[in-house]
Formats: sequence, C-alpha cells, structure tokens
Amino acid sequence: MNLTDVMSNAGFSDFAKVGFVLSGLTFVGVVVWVVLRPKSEMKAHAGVVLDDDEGASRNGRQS
Amino acid sequence: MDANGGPGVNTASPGEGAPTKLDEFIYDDATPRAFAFATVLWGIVGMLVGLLAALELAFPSVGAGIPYIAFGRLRPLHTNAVIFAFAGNAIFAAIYYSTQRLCKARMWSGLLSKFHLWGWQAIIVAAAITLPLGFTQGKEYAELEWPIDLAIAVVWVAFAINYFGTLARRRERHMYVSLWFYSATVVTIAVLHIFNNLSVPASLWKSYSLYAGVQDALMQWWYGHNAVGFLLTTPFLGLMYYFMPKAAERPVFSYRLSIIHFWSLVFIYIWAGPHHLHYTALPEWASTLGMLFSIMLWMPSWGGMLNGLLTLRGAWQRVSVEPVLKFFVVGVTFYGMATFEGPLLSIKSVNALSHYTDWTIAHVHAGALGWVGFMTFGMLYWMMPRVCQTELWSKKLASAHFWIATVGLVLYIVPIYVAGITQGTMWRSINDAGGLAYPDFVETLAAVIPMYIVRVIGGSLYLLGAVLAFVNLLATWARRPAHYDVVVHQAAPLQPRFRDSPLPESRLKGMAVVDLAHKIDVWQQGGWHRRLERLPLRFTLYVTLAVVVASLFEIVPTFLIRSNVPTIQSVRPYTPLEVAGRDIYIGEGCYNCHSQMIRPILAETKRYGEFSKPGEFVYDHPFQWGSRRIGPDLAREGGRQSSVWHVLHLQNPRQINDKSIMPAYAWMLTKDVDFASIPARLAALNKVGVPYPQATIAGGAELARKQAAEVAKQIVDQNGPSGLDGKQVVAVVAYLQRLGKDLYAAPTPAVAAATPSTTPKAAGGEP
Repeated sequence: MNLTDVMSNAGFSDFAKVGFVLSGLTFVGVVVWVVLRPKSEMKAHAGVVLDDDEGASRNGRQS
Repeated sequence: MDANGGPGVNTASPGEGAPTKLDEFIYDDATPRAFAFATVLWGIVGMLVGLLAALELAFPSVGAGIPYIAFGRLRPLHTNAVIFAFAGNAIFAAIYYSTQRLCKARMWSGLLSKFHLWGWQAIIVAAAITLPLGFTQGKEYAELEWPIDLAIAVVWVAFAINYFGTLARRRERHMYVSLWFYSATVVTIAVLHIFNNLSVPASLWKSYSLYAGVQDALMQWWYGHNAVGFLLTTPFLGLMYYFMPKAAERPVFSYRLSIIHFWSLVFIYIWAGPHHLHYTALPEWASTLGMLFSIMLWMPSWGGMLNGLLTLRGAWQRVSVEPVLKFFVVGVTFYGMATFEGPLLSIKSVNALSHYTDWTIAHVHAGALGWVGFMTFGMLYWMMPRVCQTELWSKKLASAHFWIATVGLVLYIVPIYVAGITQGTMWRSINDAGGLAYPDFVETLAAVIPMYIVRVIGGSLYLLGAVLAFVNLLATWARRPAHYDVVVHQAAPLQPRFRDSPLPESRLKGMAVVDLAHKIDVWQQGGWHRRLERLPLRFTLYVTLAVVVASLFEIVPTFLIRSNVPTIQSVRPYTPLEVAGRDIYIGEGCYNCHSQMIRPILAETKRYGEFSKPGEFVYDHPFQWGSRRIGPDLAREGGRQSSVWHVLHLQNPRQINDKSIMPAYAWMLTKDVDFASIPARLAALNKVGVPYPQATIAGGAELARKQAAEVAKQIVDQNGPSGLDGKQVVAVVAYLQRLGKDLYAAPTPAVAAATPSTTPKAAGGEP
C-alpha cells in the first residue's frame, strides 16, 4: 500500500477545506492583533523609512 | 540621531542598553546602479520583442517565415524578458538600495552582490539565446530548460544569503514593512521555482516535467499565479512602501494597514492559483477554493492602494511638478485597477466569458505596464540621481515619458479589452437554430484585427517612453562626479544580548476570569509580534510556513487522492513518433495560441466536441492546456482534418484560409526528425511515470521511423507532397491526429499499449 492508497482511502477529501478554515482563522487573528497595537508604536515604525539616509562624506559634506 | 544610531523605536526599545561606540559604514550604490541600467536596457529589449509579436498578430507576413521569430517562440521570449529581466532587475535595484538603508548596514557580501548581478544577466542572455532556438519546457513563464533553471536556483540562493545576511547584521532593530515584503519574495519565489521546475532531463536542452496533466496544470498555475504575486506584486509593494514615503517626504498613511496588507497577501494570495483553471479538468473543489480566496483579496489590495495614495496627503500639489510622484500615482492606481479586475475575472461566470480571450491579455498588461512599469520608472527617476550623486538630467523629459507612456498604456489596453469581450461573446453566440453563430473560428479572429493594430500603436508609444527614460538616465549618469563621494554613515550596532521588553501583564488581573482569558488578553497586546518583527530568521520561517502549508493543503489532495483524476482505461501513452511530434509542438510554442482543453460549456462543446476529462491527460508531461486562443482549441483535433490538410496548413496557413494569422511552418517540411534522441526521450518519460516497456524505449527510433513512413505514405495517398518521410511535419501530423481520440478508443491495458499499434488508424485522418 503506497501513500496514494492511504490518502485515497482516508477520507481526506475535506483536507483543503480544513486548510481554508485554519488559514482564515490565523489571518483574522493577525488582523485583530494589528488593530489593537498602540498608535505611538505604529507612528514610530512608519518613521523608520525617513531616517535612513543621513551621512557625511569623507570631506565632511552632508549627503 | 542619538547615541544609539537612530531615533524612533529602536532607541526606545528596552533592553538595547546604551552603546558607547558608533559603527561607520558605507552603502554599496554600485550594485543598485548597475541593476537600474540593466532594468532599462532589458526593458527596451523585452518591449521590442513584445512589439514584434504584436506586429505579427496584426500583420502575419512580418514573421517572414523565420523560425526564430515565429510568434510561438517570440511570446515566451517577451514574457520572460519583461518579467525576469525588466521587472527582475528593477526589484533587485530597489532591494539593494533600500535594504541597506532600512538596515543601516552595507550588503553582507560584495562578492555575492556581484555574483547576483552578473549571474542574473548571464541567465537572461541564456534565455534570449535558447528560447528563439525552441528550447523550452512548454510551461508558461517557466519555459527555460533545466540547466538555466539550475543556474537561476544558484543565483537566487546567493541573493537570499546576501539579503538575509544583511538583515542579520542590521543596525535598526525594527524591520520596516518593506523588508517583510522583500523577505516574502525571496523565500516564496525559491519555493515556487524549485517545485514547478522539477523535471527529468532527456538531454542537455530537453526535459520532461515530473508532473502530468491535471497535476502539472495545478502545479503550473500555483507557480504562475504566485509568480505574479511574489515577483510582480510583493516586491513592488515593498518598493512602494519605501520609495513613495521618500518621494513624498512623509511617512506611509497607515503603517497598521501596511501590516494587514502584508499578512493578507501571505495568507490569501497563495491559495488563489486555481482560478486560472475554471471549467477545466481540474477538480471542482480546487477551482472553487481558488475563486473564494481571490475574492477575499479585494479588500487588502484596495487597502494597500488607498494606503499608497493617501501617503501623498498634503503633497498632492507636488504631483503636478514631480514626475516621480506622477509615475507613482498612476502606478498605484493601476495596482488598484488590476487587483479589482483579478478577483472579478476569478468569478466563474465571468471567467467563462473571459478565459482564453484577449481580456486576460489586457488585464495582464494593465498590471504589467501600469503597476510594474510605472512603479519601476518612478523608482528609477528617484533613485538614479542619488546613486549617481547628481541631479536628474531632465525633468521635462521624464514628464514627457510619463505622458507618452500613459497614452500608450491606454491605447494598448482599451482595444485589447474590446477584443477580448468581442472574442468571448462571438465564441459563445448561438443562433436561432441552436447552432454556433460564428462557426468558423477565423471569423472571430478577423473581427479583432483592427484592435490588434491599435495595440501596436499603444505598445510603440510605451516603448518610446522607455527609450526616453534610458536617454535621461544615461545622461544623468554622464553628469556624475569624476569620483563618487564616499559617504560615511554612522549607527550604533545592535546589542548582541538584546533583552526584549517583558510580555505585558494581563489587564484583567484581579477580575474573576479563567486563566485562558488572561492569556488571550496578553496575546492581544501584541508583544509576541513585536518580538517576531525583530527576529528576521524566525519571521522568514513563519512566512515560509504560511506559504508552504497553504500550498500543501491545496496541492496534496490532487496528487494523492485518486478520485480527483479518475482513470480512463482507453487512454494510452503516445507512440515514439507522436512523442517526437509533441516535442516539436512544444518547441514551437503552439500552446501560446492553441488550447487543449474543452470546457463543459455549450458553445464550446458545439465547436470542439466532447468536453475534456481529467483522465485524458495522465501521460501529458507537460500539460498543454494553454491559456489563450488566438487559434482554435486542439483537444479533439485528431481525425477532424486529413493529414494532407495539416501538411498544407503547416506549410502556409493562408493557402487553406486567407484570413489565418498563424505563422507558416514551412521548415517542418524540410527539417528531419531527430530519431536518434527518441530512446533517451522515452527513457526520461518512463522515469516520470509513462509506462513504456524497455523494448519500446530501446527500439523507439525504429518504431518512429516505421510510423513516419506510414504517415508519409498516407499523405501521398491523399494527393499530398511526396518525400516527407522522416521530416518534422510527419511527426507533428501524427501527434495532431492522435489528439483527443483515446476517449473513444477501446479500453487497453496501459502497459500493453505502450508499444502502440500505430498508423493509418492512430495517425487518423480520412482522405
């Protein structure tokens, strides 16, 4: 008996539907968590992108 | 900048301590600069090839009977060039530029950066040589043969090591959301590429997919769909979340929304692939699942689009004068349009009309030219002056590019939408007598030729815009300083013994609730995800897990549950000559215009015959269902026409039907079949599961010659040309005459059938 026989006879036809529900629930969990995060933290993270390019040239010129 | 190397969350993070010494580092701008030039150069090449392909559809004589530029070979060259060369180099340019800055660290290895840059260009050159020569796996967007696939895997791994190495030694504790999108791209593309391209080589430039028929189709569109998702969407979203705030000089509108956007793509996108296979022989459950997940994508995609556009709040007045912002605004708007239309097309009833028509082509180009193209050019116009340490050569020229490309884009997609809907409605039209209103397929083609001509004009304008961009960027580079200024950046290193903030206490303390409620409250406060964001390896692992688990849930049942692909006793493996003919069919890229999949739709069964069954394709390595119909479906072509009809049609389609736009394949009448390689081909097919006995494999060449002689004689008997014995056309005719006939054949044990009793019957065709 190979894996195909096992899978074919194990009633796994609903395998994908189970996956659908699990994936959906995990995603909902992530959304709930995101919505509950403090605003100050979000603001700080969003600002990271604007603070990444400062530097000084070897002769002292600001880039 | 404070002593810790950066403001914001990292310095505020508890546990970071107070470092006493700042690191100094220099960004590698040579690599993004080189990738940027490669982007524009290959973009022009890819668009030029696309323009030639579009010209061949509008004016078939343009092909001039030259094999290397026949439409079937040209289209894969175009798609590969614009996806992997243009968009690929664009995302690498953006990733190399932004990752260093977001991590406050130089790329982990300069050597790996160079290896990635030149390795990728070498792969593109290899593709540009092999595809016109007809070396192809015959799977859309995965045409490249196994040696090039291996090279892609090696170069991609080098890129991944370099990228994750940079994340590991970053000096910014928080990984900005762009890095999440990049990470998802790096891991998912690796998974998709490896699994979709598993094949057994028959020679240096020929291999057979490990999967067959339905399974190959599911695997291919799992790949094809997610390649769009994780090569043309997630990295460009990462690009959007980095370059739009930079260009607008303000943070993204909602960082919260960007996180939801990211996780929704990871959790949902990966499931949506089967919407490419509605009404095919794919199991119903898989198809419905694909549709549901596609519709779920509507919300996050539009959330992402609005997030991008609202980032410009308070800066809209600059859009009128800044070409960079113009490109970004139109790019993001087209993201919204394409991601609205994608789920719409996944709805089965809409898909029944749109599938196989040019509607899909219009949708794809709205996304490719509008979203990918405009975001790329916006990014290049912003980045190139910075990495060249000068000003953009001409803002006016960039603005001219914007307007020319916008007009070109509209002129491209509008007529092709019209063409698609025209095709769909004409194919489905039933007259009062219950028959097809347009029974001759060529009628439906002739109706859309004017739209194809307008498309050529639109495509030319878009290409002209790309040429202007090249001139502008080249002139910008020419204005660079004699010696680039070496800009030194400073930031505090991350503490090796970082102590994360302790998990918060339950806010329900003291209340009469069960333990579980306390745990849920702590979880809701989100400390666990804050930790996760700071751990690139674990973060990447979870993204990979989400992608792989979703894929397995979808793919495993189709591979391992027999009821999904019911066996048909009468379906037999192809004869050795038919295998040779099928390989020529694949090499010529016939699947780019002809499907082999009749859907259970009334108009379709009236036009092409009995609808296709999953069990009919169990020996098809690879499957050849196709995705569009510039020509008619061929699933039941066997026996519909005489063999001599096929010979004359292949020699010059217009001597059969003067409105046909199919290329002439006259060389098939003079070029010999490669009989010597047939045993190796059969042996490779045997390894992937086609039950050829050893005697058939060993004597494959002789069996093929015998059948070829019989088919050639049949052609002569039908008043066709003589001297075709052993020529390619005979093998192709043998294959075409076999298509779709097994369903009606007497049941035969599969192994016994492996040495087929061929010809005139199997080769089909009545005089």
